[in-house]
Amino acid sequence: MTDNIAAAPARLRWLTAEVVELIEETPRAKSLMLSIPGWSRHRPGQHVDVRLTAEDGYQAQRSYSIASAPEADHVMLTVDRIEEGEVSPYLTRDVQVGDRFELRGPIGGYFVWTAAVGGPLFLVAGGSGIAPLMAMLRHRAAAKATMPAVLLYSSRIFEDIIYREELDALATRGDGLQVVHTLTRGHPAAWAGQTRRIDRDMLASDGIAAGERPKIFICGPTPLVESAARSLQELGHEPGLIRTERFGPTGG
Amino acid sequence: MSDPPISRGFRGRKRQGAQADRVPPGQHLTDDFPVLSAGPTPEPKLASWSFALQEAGSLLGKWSWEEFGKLPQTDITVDIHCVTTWSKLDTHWRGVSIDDLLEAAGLNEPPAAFAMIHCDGGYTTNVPVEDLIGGKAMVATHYEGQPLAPEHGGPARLLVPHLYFWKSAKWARRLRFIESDEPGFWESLGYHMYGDPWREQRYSGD
Amino acid sequence: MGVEPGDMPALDGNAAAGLLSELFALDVTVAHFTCAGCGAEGELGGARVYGGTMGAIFRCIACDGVVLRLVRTPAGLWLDMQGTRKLVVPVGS
Repeated sequence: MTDNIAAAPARLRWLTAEVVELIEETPRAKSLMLSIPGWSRHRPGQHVDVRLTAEDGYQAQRSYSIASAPEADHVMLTVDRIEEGEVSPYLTRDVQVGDRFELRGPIGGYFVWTAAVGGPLFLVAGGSGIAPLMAMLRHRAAAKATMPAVLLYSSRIFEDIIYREELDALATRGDGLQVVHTLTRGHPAAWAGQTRRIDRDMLASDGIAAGERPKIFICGPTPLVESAARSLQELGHEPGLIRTERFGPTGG
Repeated sequence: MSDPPISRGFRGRKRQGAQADRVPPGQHLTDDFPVLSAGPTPEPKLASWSFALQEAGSLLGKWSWEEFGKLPQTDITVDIHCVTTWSKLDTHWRGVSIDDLLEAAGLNEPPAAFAMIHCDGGYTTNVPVEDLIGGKAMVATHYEGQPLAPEHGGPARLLVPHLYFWKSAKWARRLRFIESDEPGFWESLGYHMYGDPWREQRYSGD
Repeated sequence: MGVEPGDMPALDGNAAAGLLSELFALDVTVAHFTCAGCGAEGELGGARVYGGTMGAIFRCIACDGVVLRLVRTPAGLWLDMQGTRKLVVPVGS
């Protein structure tokens, strides 16, 4: 798929990011729009390392996917709050516009898609795993691309769907994108989407067929990613066309 | 080089200074039991499991799962400290002490000064024998009264709680006595050969 | 992303790209390796990475053998590549 894409220079400096806007996406997820002097344009799917420094010099570091398109004015990170966490409660509850922290990136050339690579594009997201895939879809729209694309997006409940309204808008542009939602822990009365965990049947019925040779990107909690990758191979998709980004046992 | 920007209001986890009598320097307390592995969790296969004591080419002792269960069992409550900075107090373990293993193998004293522990999946770690005997270490099979879960090292792991927890090798299968200290998996990659949390011996050269 | 330390048994190789970038001049997550254990080929970004915050242990998805290990200590970066027969890094023309 990206066999002939060259390795980019890796050397990264720690830059200082400033929060210019905060967006409450869902009760648990918040997006941070950042201004980053010295930032070089990223590719959709890449991530950053964020480093926080306390007054006594203590530092904590975490990775976050870039959710914005490279064409956007500001870099957007979407952080899911893990209550027992050390960094996400700070980024989702305490951070204010004007606050600054260190950031290194863009990082990672493996989990990347650009319109130039072509399609069809088959995206599978679980929870906050939508972030890097949203960068891909935002870029696809900015590039006015029309290759067939499907996003299969699993969330717990309706209120947890990140970027829901924007995804609705992207899906009704008529440019070949289909968005299929599935809710795993309960759904509103008039819900027309799927209502169970992503499984092989759903990937077959709502996804893109193996014969179309779509580029596949799966991102989310490890169990979802592993199960989807396995099912997609069973459905005949080539392993080389499947790229995964596990968030770990509980997700980002 | 300029100082990094302070992230306003970020406090991070509560860190304990060396004054706190149970939490080594640079550590914080956790109620969780985080899983960190150098490789995939091996499938537990009790029917073919064994634990062996070796020296050079000789087998000094070997026990099947059933035989291991018949050895003297020891219960301990200890604090454990991971080099990734979490510490967990009052953890309960049951297993066979290294002293009892040596005795079961008919050894009056350990045959060498150092040991390398070998595990399913290829993980290794080195420990001075002095730090394994006198009640300081065991091969643990139970945690908090339950059989040790696979992701935490089950069916059996070495437990050497007075050293950083990477020394408490998961999925332990062999203890090989060696004349001089050699670096195991993490030690050969820059981690400290000994690993005393109270002297903050995290990395080589500390 | 945003996962707490010690909480991640296995991630994709891409997750360790930041650490790799401290040592390698080029992004080696797109580099092709040949596993010294079983001969399988792959890209480092698609290998399985273990080790949490202790370091990056890349393993071959075919045989689970260690392909590459990297640890950052305060004094230096320690790299062990015994598990890779060769590494091919594509460069632009």
